[in-house]
Amino acid sequence: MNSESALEFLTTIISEIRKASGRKVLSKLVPEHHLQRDLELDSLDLAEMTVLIESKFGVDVFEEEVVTTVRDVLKKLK
Amino acid sequence: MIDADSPYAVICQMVANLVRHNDFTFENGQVKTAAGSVCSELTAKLDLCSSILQSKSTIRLSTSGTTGTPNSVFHTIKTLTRGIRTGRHHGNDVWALAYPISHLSGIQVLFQALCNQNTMVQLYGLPTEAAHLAIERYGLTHLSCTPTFLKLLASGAHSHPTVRRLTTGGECYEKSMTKMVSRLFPNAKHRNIYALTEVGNLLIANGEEFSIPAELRSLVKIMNGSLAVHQSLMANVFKPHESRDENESFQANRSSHEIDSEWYVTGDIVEVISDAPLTFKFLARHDDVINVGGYKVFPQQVEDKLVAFPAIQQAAVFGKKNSVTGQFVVCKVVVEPGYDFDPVTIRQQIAEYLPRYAVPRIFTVVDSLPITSTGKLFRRDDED
Repeated sequence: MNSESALEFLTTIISEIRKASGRKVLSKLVPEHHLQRDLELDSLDLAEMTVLIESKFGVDVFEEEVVTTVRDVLKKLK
Repeated sequence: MIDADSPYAVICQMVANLVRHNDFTFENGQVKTAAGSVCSELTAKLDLCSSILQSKSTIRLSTSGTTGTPNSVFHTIKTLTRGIRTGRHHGNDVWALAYPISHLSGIQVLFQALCNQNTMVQLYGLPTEAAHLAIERYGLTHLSCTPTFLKLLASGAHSHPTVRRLTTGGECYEKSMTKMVSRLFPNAKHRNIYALTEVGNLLIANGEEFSIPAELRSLVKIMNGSLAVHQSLMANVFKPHESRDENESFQANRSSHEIDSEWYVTGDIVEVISDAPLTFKFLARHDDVINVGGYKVFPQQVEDKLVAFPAIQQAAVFGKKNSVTGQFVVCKVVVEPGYDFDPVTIRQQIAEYLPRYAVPRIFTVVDSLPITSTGKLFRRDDED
């Protein structure tokens, strides 16, 4: 899985997570985005995100450390 | 000692399948035809019934083992038949067997039907439509089952006016089921039973709220949110000296949370409604409770909200492990035919009725929900 398609997948799931709780759908996701500050993901959203990523990539991004940005997540998926 | 799965128990079941023989009479221990001749086949069956009921045999049952290794519990025929009602007005009862015969409730139904020579109709394991047909065909009058079994029956538009008595047990019964029960069984009196394999029937309620009767007030209490019963109530757990090794192993197999010196902590989580008299309703089995970052979620409360949506016919809610919040809430749903199912809309709408941590985050559409061997809803992640 290249980083472009990983970013695309992240954009889709984060948009869906935001939409399900009535927040605006993202037009674009960039590596510098802070998961909590910029994307407004709380712990429940992050839990959902990590499970969706794990089911697609087989990687638990929060297993060893707390990831804070989109770039941190993409690094784990390389 | 006989085992609930043994051929002997199977014979008991066959005997209970006796159809009503209105043309026969019972005199001096013999069954006679209308013309007065002895019907040896039926007499033999009645002899067998009588022998079973007077037997000093013990029956070994296994607890469901939802919290670990199933435990062995020993019952006598006497203790298993203690709550049975007999008499002339029970002669035409038609019982459903909606539990496996190796389960305490299944055996109680068997003996109830056996003692009154009632027809017993096997519903356990039948597809829903076949179960409805059997209820109609045999004019079922008595049904004892889990709430999950009822919910499966309720998926169609059937109504069964012949059913006079409905008994639920084995799982939490929610008040919201009352409407469904009235539609399914418009003429049935309903009672909700709390039973333990180790004790037998313990508490009876008209709906979801149980009150402790005066004679049990010193023997039932709440410990850490869970119902606990005094060891003396478990006196009917028979410990045959010939099976001492087995019995010691039975005690050793119990996990430490279940035994608090003289109290047996059931692991059934309750919400206290009033203290005097102690009145409560059951919320969940402790191992079904979902812990979302320290917040407790009771699956059935979420399921109730889910099935209130027209698009959702049935739902099973359980926890999904993750390294951020420990668990979060996910569900499997059976979609009502003809409805569009949109999980995003459901999530948005259900958030009006539930705290955010209790809103299911992932929906999996399935054809049918998994059921345990004892007829209860199986709330687990496939990957666990």
